[in-house]
Amino acid sequence: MSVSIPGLEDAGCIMLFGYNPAASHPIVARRIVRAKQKGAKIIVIDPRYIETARIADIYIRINNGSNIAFLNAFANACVEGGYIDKEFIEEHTTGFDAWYETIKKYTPENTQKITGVDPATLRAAAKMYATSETGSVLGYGMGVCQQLQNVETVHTIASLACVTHNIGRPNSGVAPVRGQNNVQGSCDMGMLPNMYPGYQKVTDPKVREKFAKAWGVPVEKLSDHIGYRLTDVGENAAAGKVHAFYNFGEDPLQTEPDADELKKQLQGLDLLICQDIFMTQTCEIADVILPGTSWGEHDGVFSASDRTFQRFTAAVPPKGECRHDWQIFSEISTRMGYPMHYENTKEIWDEMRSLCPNFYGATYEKMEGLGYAQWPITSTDPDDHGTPTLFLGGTFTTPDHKAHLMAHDWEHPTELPDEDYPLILCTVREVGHYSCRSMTGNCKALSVLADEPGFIQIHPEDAAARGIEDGQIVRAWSRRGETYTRAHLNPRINKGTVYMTYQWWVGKCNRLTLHHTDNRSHTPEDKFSACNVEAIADQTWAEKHVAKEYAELKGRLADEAAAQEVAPKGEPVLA
Amino acid sequence: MANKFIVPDPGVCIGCKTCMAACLAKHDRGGEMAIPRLSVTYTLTVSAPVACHHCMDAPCVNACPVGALYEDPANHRVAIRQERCIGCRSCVMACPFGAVDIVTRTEPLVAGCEVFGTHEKAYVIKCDLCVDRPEGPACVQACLTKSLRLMDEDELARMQAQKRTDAVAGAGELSSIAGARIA
Repeated sequence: MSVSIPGLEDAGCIMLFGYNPAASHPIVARRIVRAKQKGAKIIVIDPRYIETARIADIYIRINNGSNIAFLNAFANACVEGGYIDKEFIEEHTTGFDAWYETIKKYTPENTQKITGVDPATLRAAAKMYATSETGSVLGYGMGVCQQLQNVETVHTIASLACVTHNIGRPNSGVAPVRGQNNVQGSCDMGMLPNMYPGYQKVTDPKVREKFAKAWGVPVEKLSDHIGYRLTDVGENAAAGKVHAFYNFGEDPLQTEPDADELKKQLQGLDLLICQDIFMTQTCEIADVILPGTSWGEHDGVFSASDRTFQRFTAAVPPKGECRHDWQIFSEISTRMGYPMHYENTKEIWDEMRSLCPNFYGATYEKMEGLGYAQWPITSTDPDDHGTPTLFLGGTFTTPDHKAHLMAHDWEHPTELPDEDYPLILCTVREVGHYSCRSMTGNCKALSVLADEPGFIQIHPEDAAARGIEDGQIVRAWSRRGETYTRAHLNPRINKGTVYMTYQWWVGKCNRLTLHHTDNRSHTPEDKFSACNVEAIADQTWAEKHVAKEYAELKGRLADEAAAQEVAPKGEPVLA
Repeated sequence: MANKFIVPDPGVCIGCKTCMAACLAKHDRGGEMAIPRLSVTYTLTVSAPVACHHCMDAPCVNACPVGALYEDPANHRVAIRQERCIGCRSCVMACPFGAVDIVTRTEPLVAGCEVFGTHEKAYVIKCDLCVDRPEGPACVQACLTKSLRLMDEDELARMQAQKRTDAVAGAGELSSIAGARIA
């Protein structure tokens, strides 16, 4: 994000768009509560009446799948109201006229049937966002990124911040949040098919030369083309393009869309390696499992969504055969012909920052204890903690240092509801359980608060029409598959929509979700699939059925894991 | 001295259930049930936890036929004698807040050092104000947004006094005598 998370408290206005911090990042939700207590205006635009909507000055209930139509009308209202900063646009941006050619077609009135938003309310929100004296922050989450027009929506949001001059000055900017813990860190460290650490392109020959020299390998050994994305691995395996998959710290059979199909595709691989700390469903079908260490057993550095590096240290030593991820990678690399050896994570970190100018000042010493370093950070001066706000003064990282305004036309989501599948399924987060649930599901307190078969949130009117009562087990199905889960009647959601969290093993929403990715970010359209839900008359049978499915799955995973419950003799197998 | 109770500020509550997790963890020990004693409850517009109010004339105490629930003035609360609970659920019916629950657990039937079999032992599950916890109630300490506080007689009196001050400030406008208003 262009702003810092602590800085949210000093914003004059915070507008949340497709982001529910109370469920995804309660710590950010707390900052927003404090901002409100300090006098900030809060605008929430979401298909659900989320927790933050309760303290919002303006809440706008938007129809699912209408993001671009809404934001274009919002930008239109900003221009129409005279809330744009012409001087900033003139000096620090390019492409305004072409941008406005698209924007002017979308008025609050003519988009109302797409967005479901009252034009007067939209105009009031546009005025509040664009005219805040201390500056506005526009926060967005997976409600933007996991849509068909995800990249387009990001362009539109950035352009909106530019034309209203809510970027390039303190206490204002765009605040995209990450969907998982340390996704920012994975990207920063080059765990992407197109980037080396520090966002240095694999297609840039100069970058390749630099890394080849540092690693002591001939430059032709480093790949010069962009690799496959995780979300395309299944299809590529089925097409015979991918033969082996080294899966590390992920449970794609739980977290990726159309899970039943993905399972078939992954089962066709020649080699599937899983590196994990628990026996997940993906580990179950793996050829080789490499036992890693958990967050309490290793040390390292996390990056927060706001580019802040923070060090963490081990609380307990690893058990049994488990090795730290970096040790496993080093040993595999050595066996494959490239001797790799590090004494500790600091050595790896120092090598990394020597190759990444934007991270160079983030020394371990600076991050000692509760210390931190926020990139870009080039100086090793102990008192320099980096850059809380990006683009100050309107200087951008483009070649001409200007923001390039972009606008796009709205398109409807891929799979629209119809007679057979009349409900829109949207996948979301819930507080308490996290990601594929392999970690939080093993935490007693969190399991007591919420357990299998999970929940499907349904509007009370949709539930009544189907004879579904709160807490009952229901059957949900789509063109891809079916699942059994517990109904949670929720008046805070749009009628005609249902919401499921993607971590439940028995009530697995990803058996239902559509696998459709865009061709730039390759992020699946998790926020919009068509499905249906029905009541089950025999609830006694249903309860027994889900309990049996859960017990069977746990039993299978325990049996798979049992092979490893042998006390290691002498040196671990890998050594 | 009046009883104390846990009060949420629903405006500040973000519905995150950290209070429930903290409560559960506090009671996850021998002889107790690992169940949260408060439940975050959501309506269309409000999110807030509901917990025992430790009523001064408590319906649950009045309804309990065996004295499993009783007024405990020394600790400013309604307390529980688990060994007396017979699981009749009169307290569950009587509580106007839905803040009391009864759960059972299978336990050995023991006489002397002899085990004769098992039986279902009933437990009253409700807020005990964490009186055995030096830092005070676990939920209050754990709340991310400081939405929860322990309300006692003094705090209640302060709130009342403030409300009276606010109310009378407006009443000044109603004065029938010119000059009574301070410009």
